[in-house]
Amino acid sequence: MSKLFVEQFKEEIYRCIRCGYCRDFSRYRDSAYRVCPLRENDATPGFEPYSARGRLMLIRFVLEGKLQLNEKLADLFYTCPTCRNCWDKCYVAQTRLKGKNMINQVEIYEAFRHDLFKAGLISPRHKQILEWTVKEHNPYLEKHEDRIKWVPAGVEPPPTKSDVMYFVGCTSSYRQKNIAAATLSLLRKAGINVGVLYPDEWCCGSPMLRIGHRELAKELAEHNIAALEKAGAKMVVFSCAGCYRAFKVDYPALGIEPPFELKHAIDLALELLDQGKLSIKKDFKAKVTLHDPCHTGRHLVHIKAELYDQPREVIKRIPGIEFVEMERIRRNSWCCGAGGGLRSYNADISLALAKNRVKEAERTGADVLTSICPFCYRNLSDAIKLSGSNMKMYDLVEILDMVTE
Amino acid sequence: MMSTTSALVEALSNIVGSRFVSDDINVRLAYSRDASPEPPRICDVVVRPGSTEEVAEIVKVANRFKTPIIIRGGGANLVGLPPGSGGITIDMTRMCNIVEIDETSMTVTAQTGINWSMLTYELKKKGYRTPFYGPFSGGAATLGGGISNASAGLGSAKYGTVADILVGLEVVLPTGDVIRTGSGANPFARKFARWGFGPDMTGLFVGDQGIFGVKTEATLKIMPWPDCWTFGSYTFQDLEKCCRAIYEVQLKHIPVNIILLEPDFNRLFGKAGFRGLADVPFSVHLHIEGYSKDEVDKLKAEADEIMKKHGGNEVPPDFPSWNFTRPWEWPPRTGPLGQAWITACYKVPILDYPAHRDMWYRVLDKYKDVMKEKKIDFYVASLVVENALDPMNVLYWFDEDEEAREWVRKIWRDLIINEIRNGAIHYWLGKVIGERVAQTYTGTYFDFLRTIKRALDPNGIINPGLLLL
Repeated sequence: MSKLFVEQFKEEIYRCIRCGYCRDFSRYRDSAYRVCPLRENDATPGFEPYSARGRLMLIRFVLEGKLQLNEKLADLFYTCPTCRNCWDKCYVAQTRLKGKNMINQVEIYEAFRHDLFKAGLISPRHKQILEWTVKEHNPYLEKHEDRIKWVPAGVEPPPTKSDVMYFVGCTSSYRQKNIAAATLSLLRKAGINVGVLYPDEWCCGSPMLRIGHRELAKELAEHNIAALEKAGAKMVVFSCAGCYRAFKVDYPALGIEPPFELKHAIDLALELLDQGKLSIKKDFKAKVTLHDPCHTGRHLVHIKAELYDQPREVIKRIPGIEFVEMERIRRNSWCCGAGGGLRSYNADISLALAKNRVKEAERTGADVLTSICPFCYRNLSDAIKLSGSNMKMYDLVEILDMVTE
Repeated sequence: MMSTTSALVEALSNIVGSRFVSDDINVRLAYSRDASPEPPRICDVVVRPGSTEEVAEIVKVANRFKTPIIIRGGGANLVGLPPGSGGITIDMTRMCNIVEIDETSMTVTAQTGINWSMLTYELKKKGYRTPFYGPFSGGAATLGGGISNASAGLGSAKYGTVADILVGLEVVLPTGDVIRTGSGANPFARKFARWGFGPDMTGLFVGDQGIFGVKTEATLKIMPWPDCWTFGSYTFQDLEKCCRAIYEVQLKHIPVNIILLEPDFNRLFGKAGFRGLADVPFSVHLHIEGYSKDEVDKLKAEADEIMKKHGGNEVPPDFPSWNFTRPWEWPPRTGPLGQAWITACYKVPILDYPAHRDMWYRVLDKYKDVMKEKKIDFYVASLVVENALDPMNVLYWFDEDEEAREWVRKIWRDLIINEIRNGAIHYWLGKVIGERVAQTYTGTYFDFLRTIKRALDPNGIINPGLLLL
């Protein structure tokens, strides 16, 4: 067998002491109840390889030549939303050595997924997504020419060049168009002549990295950076947690440092509120709870760029909102199940996770569930429908757009 | 014709549903090791039952197929899986619900697949805690595992071990029959009393390494959550005086937790910023809890006087205030450079400890060259379990180095044999420690155990080979 990509993490893999805290460890001191969402309420069969200890053991067996790459192994590795809670609760991972965390579970899984991809062990659905992205630059099997159709009728299309560019992302372009429209509206209210890359915005590459096609991800990243540079961007704004994480963390890991200021829309909106460029004029009468996306949370804490305070501060400023927190928030936020390629790989499991999160939201008594990611929005709103919940789902940008003038 | 494994999978699927049965090699390999450096033991099938009834049926199937059962809780053991190969691994962690918090009898009944941190989390919501609240591995280690290993750990200085808080059990016997022990044996009574209603059958299953049956539910004492606490840290130059201080504090049962750190750990924690530890040989750390500030202040003053009387120098309590507000997060399970670890917890009378401890260094002297060459380190910390010190003598090594791992296995075994011969009482035993402990049993005692095992488990189905039975 040729050398596996994951071998670069060998030292980290052997640091796992198999203590099993990556599964159901609970900390009363900060309301961290359980760790791996795949094990809660039988969302999966819950065998060892569904969580980090088992996964790292299996990679170790592969590296030692005692286990060959195989389809069932691939299934176990793709059945993971890569929410990074196992990394967050692993005290080996949280111990730093030479300026680095001792184990980086998700980076290891994704390196191993690259090996599985190279071995042809990806699902037909993921294969289709990769092929379509090469052809039409999005994973939703949509036409590239339709990418701009999120702009509502009667709204002036944004320019294609500006010093502030909005990177819309595939989910908001093709599925949660409401979020893209609200983001554009909000930024315009603040007097920002925000631009959008059209026809040059391609998928950010996050799904490709999650599936394991690093080369395609890099190609997409290089394209997007070049296009944004050409558009004159000084700041790039995101309403998608996944795209934001891709630019903040994944691009540098691929050797590409974005030469712009990167801002999540909610972070920027808070600054605009502080500067008086946005004014809240209306109430939003509802009991609201907030879901922290993994991509703007645990995936950014190691670079100290997590967005936990900003959405709460925005919510606090909106009159009429009675804000209630769920039990598991911030670094302990319970994954909605959409990420890591899980939604496209196994929608049933992905939605089972989302239903667990919706149940937790319902326990607060809130009637509105909000978040700052279109992909979380999509999975949670689907789970709301499937579970017959009466909750309403809004992106926080949408709520802010409703109450500002 | 269907293979035996296929027939077994089918039989188990009929009990728990096919979703919770797997004979996939990937799954079986992931269950092939515990947290020790012992080589893998690969089973034939893994099953995750969700109820006592399912466990009982699984045990009956195992008897029918004459195939062994390996009971697995949190998989955090440091002792190796039972000897042999094949069989059914029962992963108990799907059975992780609290059955009842009975405020009238001040008990909690929970399924045994719940881990200690989950149990404590749920109890705290209601304002309760178990007096002993789990081994240091309780973030994964289950209630069932804790009882099977007679665990000590958090709360042990004041409240003893899991045995001391256990009121009764529900057990699936190796034949598949289900019994309740303690007052639970009386169908008309609450589960509130361990003794009475006949002999103490609960005790039979405490520390049994799972060989006498599958524990499915346990009833434990609870107490109101102690909402006041304080900490104390003292450094000592002399181990004898240090142990005398601990002994006297223990005569009064003052702290809920006590940890004794020895030079290497002091250096490690001192380097990490815990004040007053960097250059001291021994340090003692107290965790005192209660229900009012006056109460804990008074207890602290008593402890303070004893510690200082024996030469203790008080330093800022950085270590205990960090460590005991983070139960189950005991940091040195990984070495400072990311090494793997192994240890063997056991009990030795507090005042015997200084002499007992010298034995390790005599053993390790034989290996000093290889330890240097293979970068194997030895660190020591102890907790206090009522009248005993419970040393955690840690060997660290880089697990990528297979030769180092093999040397560690050898050194670890050598230490265990010498510990037993020097009067140590190990409690988590498993394969590696269990077989050495069993070799020490007198013939009459071993025959007695074997008679019980054969009576309960005529086909030798459950955890075969542990304690050489």
